[in-house]
Amino acid sequence: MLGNFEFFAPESLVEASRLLKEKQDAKIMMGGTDLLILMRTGVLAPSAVVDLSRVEGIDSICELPNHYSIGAGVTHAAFCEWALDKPSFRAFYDASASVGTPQVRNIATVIGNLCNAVPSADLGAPALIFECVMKITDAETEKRVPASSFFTGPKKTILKQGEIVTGMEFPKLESKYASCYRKFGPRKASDLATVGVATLLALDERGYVEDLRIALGAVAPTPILIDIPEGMIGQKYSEEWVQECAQLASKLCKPISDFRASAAYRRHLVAIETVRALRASAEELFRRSL
Amino acid sequence: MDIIIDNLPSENIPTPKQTVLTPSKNQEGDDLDNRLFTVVGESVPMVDAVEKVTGKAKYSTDIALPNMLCGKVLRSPYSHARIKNIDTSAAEKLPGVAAVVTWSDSSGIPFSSSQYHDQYILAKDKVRFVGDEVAAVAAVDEQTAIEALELIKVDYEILPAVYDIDSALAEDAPIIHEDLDNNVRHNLEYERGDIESAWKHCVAVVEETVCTSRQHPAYIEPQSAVVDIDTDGRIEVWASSQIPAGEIRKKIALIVGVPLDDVRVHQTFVGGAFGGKVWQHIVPLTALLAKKANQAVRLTYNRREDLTCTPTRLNMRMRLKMGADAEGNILAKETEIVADNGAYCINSPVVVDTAATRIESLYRFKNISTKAKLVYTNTVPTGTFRGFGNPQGTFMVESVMDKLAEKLGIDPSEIRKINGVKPGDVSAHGWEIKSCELEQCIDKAVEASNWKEVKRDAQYGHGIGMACCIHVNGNRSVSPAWDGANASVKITEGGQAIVSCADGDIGQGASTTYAQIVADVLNIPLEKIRVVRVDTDNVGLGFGAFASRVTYLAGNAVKAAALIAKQKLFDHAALMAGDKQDQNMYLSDGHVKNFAGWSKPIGKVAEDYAYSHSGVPLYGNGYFTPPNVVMADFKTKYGNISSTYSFACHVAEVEVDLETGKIRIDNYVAVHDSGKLINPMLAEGQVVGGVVQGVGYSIFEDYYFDREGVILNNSFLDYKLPTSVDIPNITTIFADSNEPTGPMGAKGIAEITIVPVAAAIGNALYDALGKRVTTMPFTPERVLAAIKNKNDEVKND
Amino acid sequence: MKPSSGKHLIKLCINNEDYEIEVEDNLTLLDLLRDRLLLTGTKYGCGEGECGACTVLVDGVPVNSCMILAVKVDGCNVLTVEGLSQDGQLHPLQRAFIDVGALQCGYCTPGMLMSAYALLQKNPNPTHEEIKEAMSGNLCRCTGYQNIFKAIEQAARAIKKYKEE
Repeated sequence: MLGNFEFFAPESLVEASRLLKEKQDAKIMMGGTDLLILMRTGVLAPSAVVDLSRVEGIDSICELPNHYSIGAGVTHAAFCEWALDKPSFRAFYDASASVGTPQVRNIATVIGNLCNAVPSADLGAPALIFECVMKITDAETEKRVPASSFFTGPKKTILKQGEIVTGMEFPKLESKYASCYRKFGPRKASDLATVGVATLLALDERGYVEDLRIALGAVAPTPILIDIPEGMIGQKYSEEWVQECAQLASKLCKPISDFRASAAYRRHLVAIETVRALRASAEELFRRSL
Repeated sequence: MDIIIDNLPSENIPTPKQTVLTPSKNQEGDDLDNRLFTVVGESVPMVDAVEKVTGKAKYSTDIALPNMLCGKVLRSPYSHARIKNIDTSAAEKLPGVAAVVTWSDSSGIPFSSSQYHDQYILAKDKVRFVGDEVAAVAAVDEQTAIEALELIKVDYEILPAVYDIDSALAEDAPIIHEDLDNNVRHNLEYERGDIESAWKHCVAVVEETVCTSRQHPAYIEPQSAVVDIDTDGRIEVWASSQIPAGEIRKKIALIVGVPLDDVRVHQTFVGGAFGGKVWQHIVPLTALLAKKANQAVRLTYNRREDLTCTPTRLNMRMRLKMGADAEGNILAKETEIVADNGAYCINSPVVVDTAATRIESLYRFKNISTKAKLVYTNTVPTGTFRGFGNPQGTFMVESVMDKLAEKLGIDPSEIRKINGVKPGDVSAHGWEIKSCELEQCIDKAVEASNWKEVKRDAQYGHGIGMACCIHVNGNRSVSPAWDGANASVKITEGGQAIVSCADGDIGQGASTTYAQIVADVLNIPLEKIRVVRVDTDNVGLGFGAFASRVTYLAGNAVKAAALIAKQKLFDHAALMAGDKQDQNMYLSDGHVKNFAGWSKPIGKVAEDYAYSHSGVPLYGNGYFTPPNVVMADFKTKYGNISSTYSFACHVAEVEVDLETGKIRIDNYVAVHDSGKLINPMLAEGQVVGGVVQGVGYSIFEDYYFDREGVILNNSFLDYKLPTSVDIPNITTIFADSNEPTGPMGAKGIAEITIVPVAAAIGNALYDALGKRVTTMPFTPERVLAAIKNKNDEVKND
Repeated sequence: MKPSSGKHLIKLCINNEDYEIEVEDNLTLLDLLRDRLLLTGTKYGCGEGECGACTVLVDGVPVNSCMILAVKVDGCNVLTVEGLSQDGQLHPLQRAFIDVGALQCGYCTPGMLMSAYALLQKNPNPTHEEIKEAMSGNLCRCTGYQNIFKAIEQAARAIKKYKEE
C-alpha cells in the first residue's frame, strides 16, 4: 500500500525544481515503475511526489547536427521504436527492449532507468559506450555530466535534491560503427541482468579495428566502462582478438556473489557475452559492407 | 475520443457445440459406458468461460460487502523467537480499528492438517519462521490497518535458528518444537520382501543422491477470504478454497470456537490453487477477525506475503540404491529420504510418505527398504502442491532408473517397460492396478519424440530423456471416516438440470466435466445444464478438489445422481402416460418418450412430479463410494488407497548452451493414460499447464534465504515463473485407454502432469552432458559446473 | 505528523463512458477501477508490474494499472476487459479464448485479453514469435500459454476474414 503523499504535476522545470527543494524528501516521478515499488515496500516514504510528465517537451527525441537528444519522458517503448532504424545504436534497442515487460516498457523511461541507478540498470552500459551526457537542471543552473561520472554507487548518482535530469545527449555515429547489448538472465523475459555487456565496434574497410568500447552492468557497484588498452585498437578483427577483449572485460569487472549468481559465474559470463556481443557487431558490419 | 472496438461480427452469448439429440442404442439398463456419447468426449468450452472472459467471474478478491473491513496480518520479523508479551492496546484504540486478534482470541486449540498438531492460528508463545503470523487487525481501510499493525508491540526473545536440514539435524541444533528432543517430527520406515538376499542376485547396482528444491504454487490470485457475521452470529465465508465443504469448515469452527453448523462457506471462483488453497491459514484467521469485529472483513495477502509466508513444496534430499539382474529386472530398492518441513507440519508428513511410496507402485518392485524423515527448520512451512511428493520421488527413481539402464546397456525406454506394472498387478504396497496403459504411453512417447533418431544422432550438449509416473485418483487415506463423493441433479419445470456437488470447480473445469456427464445421461444440451457453485448450506459433505479425485469420484457421483434423476423421470412419465401406454421410456430431444409415440418435455414431467409431491422438485441425489480401497496402514503404508491409477510417460529433448549452462527445451512430449477423456481440450490443458509448472520447478524456481532466514527472492521479479517466451513446444498425446469403473471410462489428470517433468529434463540433461546434475533446479550455474566436471553443488555465499 | 494525501478531480473516459471522480493522490488506477468503480474484471496479482493481471489500455497502450497513479490518467481513455464486449456481444478474442481453451481458472484472462487486444490493434497479423513476445508480461500458472497463442492466432484470422469481406 502506498503511504500518504502529495502529488504534483508541474508544467515547468522551474516549478518542479522549486517543489523538490521546498520538500526535501520529495521524489521525482516519470514512469514511476521503480518509484512505486520502492514506496509500496516501504523503502521510500516521500511526503511528495513531483511528476514531470506534463513538462512541455519532456518526452521529445530531437535530432541535432551532430547529436541526438533524448528527453527524460521518453519511454523504453518509444526509444525502441526510435532505435529500430539506427543500426549503430542497436545496443540502445537491445537494452530498452529487455527492460521488464511490454507493459512496463510502455510507461518506464530510459532516463528513469539511469537515475534509479541499480548496478544492473540495462541502459547503464549502453549510456557509457555511446558517451551519453546527462543534462541536469535545478531551474537556476544547467549542467552537463557525462554518464561516466553520473553513477556513484548502487542506486546512487551525483544528483542533489532539486536537480532534475531533463534528458541525455549523445553523438551521432558513422556507419562504420555497430553496437550490441547482451543481457544474461535465467529467463527470456522480465529478468534483471545477471550480467549486461554493451559493446561498440568500428572496423575500417580492411577489417581493422578503429574503435572499441566495452561497458558492463551488474558486475560492479555501478555500470562501468572498460579501459581499453591502446594496443587493442588497430589490430585486425579476429576471433583471437575477440577472445582477448573478453578476457580483458572479465578481468576488469568486479562482480559480487548473491543469490542470483556467484562472482565467478558472473565473471565467466562477462567473457562469454563480450564475445557474443562483439561477434554480433562484426557480423552486422560485415552484412552492411555487402 | 471514442474507443472503437473493431466493428466486427457480433455474436450472442455463445452456444456450445450443438449436441446431437437422437435416441441412443442402449437405453435399457444404464450401460452408458457402451453407448456412443454425444457430449462426453467432446472438447466443449468451459461452461463458465463467458464469465471469465468478460470479467464477471467473482473471485474471493472481488467480493465486496457493505461496511466490509480490511484485514492485515502482523508477522514475525524473526525466524525463531520466544514471545514474551504482545501489547495490542494502542492498536485497539486507534480510530477506525474494529478488532485486533492474537492467539488468546482463538479457541487456543492446536491443530494441523497432519496428525501432528503443532501450530496455532496465531503464534502463542513462539515464532518459528520469518513471517509467522502473530496478530491480525481489521480496520476501516488498508491504511488504518497498517498503522494499527505498527502500534502492536511484541516483545521477542530471539533464539538461534536453523535453515537447512543438516543444521537442524546437528547435535547442538536449537529445538524448534520443544515437545521433541530434536527437530525430527516424522519418521517412516518399512520393508517389503527380502532386500538383503535380493542384493546378492543383482548384477548391476547403482546409487545416487539427489536434492529437490522448494517451489511455490504461485497461483495468480493471491490468497484471500471474505467473512461476514450473520444477524444470528453465524460465520459466512467467501473463499477461493479447494475444500469449501471439507476440512476448512472444521478448522474455522475449531479455531474460532463455534459449532460446525455455525459455519457456512461459499466457494467463489478460484484464481489458481494447485494445492496451495487446500489448507489455508487465511480463512480461519479472517473468520476470527470478523467474529471479534462482528462485521464483514476481507483479508488479502499481498504477493510478497503470499510468496514468502504460505506453504511451499517440500525440498528433500533423497538417496536411492537400486539393483537389477542381467535382464534388467529391478530386484532391490533402498531409499533414504530427508525432507524439510519448514516450521510447521501443514500436510508435510503425508507428502513425505507419498514421496517415498507412490512410485514404488509404478514398477514391480518386490524387495524394498525405505526410510524417510521429516525435519523442522526455521523457514516457511512446506506443504501441499500439485503432485504432493510424487514429483520428488519420481525425480529420485527415474534418475537412478537411467543410471541402471546405462550400466546394463539397456535403453531407458526398455528398462521401464520391463519393470512397469501391468493390469492385474498388485504392487508392493497392495495397490491394485486396474486399467494401465503404461507400456502404450512409453511406446507412443518414443515414437512421437523421435527417441531413437535423437539418441543416435545427438552431439554433446544435446540430449533426450524420459520419465514415467503413476498417480492416484483420490486417496482413501485422507480421512478414516469415509471417502467418496455425492451430487445432486435437479430437473426444473423448464427442463433444465441444476447440478450441485460439494467438490466444486477450482478452475480446472470440474463444472464442465459434470455438465458433460449430465448432458449425456439426460440427453439434454449443455446450455440447459447449470452447475451451481458450492454453498455448504446446500450441498452434502465433500472433501473437495485435491489428490486428483474430482473426475473419478465426483464425476461418478454426478453420473449416479443424473441416473437417479433419469429413473425418476421415467417412473413419473410412466405414471403420466398411464397403464395403457408402453411403459418403456427413453430420453430424446429434451423429451421423455416411449416407442409408441407418447412424448412430453422433460420440464413438464418434472413439473408434474413436483405438483404430485406437494412441490418437492424432481431430484436425483447420487453418490459414489470408491471400490476396493482401504486406508493405508499407518505404520507400514500397505493398502490399496485408490480404485484406479493414472499413468504417464514424458520425454524431453534439450539443447544446452555449453558456454553458459542455459538449457533450451527443444521438444517435449507428454503421453498420458487417463482412461477415456471426458473433454480432450481440458485434459490437454492440464497437461500443458502441468508441464510448464514442471519446467519452472526444474529450471527456474527455488527459494534463497539469507543468514537470518529471510527469503531474498520475495517477488515475481526474482521468484521466476516461466513466461510466455520460456516455454517449450509441448506435444500432448493420450493413450487409448478405458477405466470401466470411471465415469464414462475416465480417470483423473490434474496432478500427474507435473510429476515426471523434472525427471525427464534431468535425464535429458544427463544424456546431453554425460554428467548428472543431481540438485534442482538446473540453474545455468549448476549445469555449467557439470559441464566443467566439477562437483555439482555450487554454493553461493 | 504523518503527511496527508491530497485529492484531485480527474476526468477520464473508461470503456466509452465519461467519469469525473475525486481521487486521492496515492490511489492507483487499479484500485480506482476495482474498489471505487467496482470494475473488478481487472485483477490484482502482484502490485509490482511483474504479472500483468492488472493490464488495461490507457490511450490504446497496454500498461500495468497497479503501477499508475489514478491522477496520472486525468484526460485519458481507459479500456478494461469489461469494455471489450459490447451489448452482450463478445469480441473475437474473447470468443477465441473460450473456443480453444485458452483459460482455466480465468484469473489472468482479463490481462491476457487486454495485451492481446493491444497487439492486434497494432499488428493485425502477428507471427507466432511476435505473439509470444507481446504476451511476455502476462503470467499464467494454469494453461502453460500454448492455447493462449492459439486463441490469438485464431482471433487474428477471424478479424482479418471479416475485414476482407
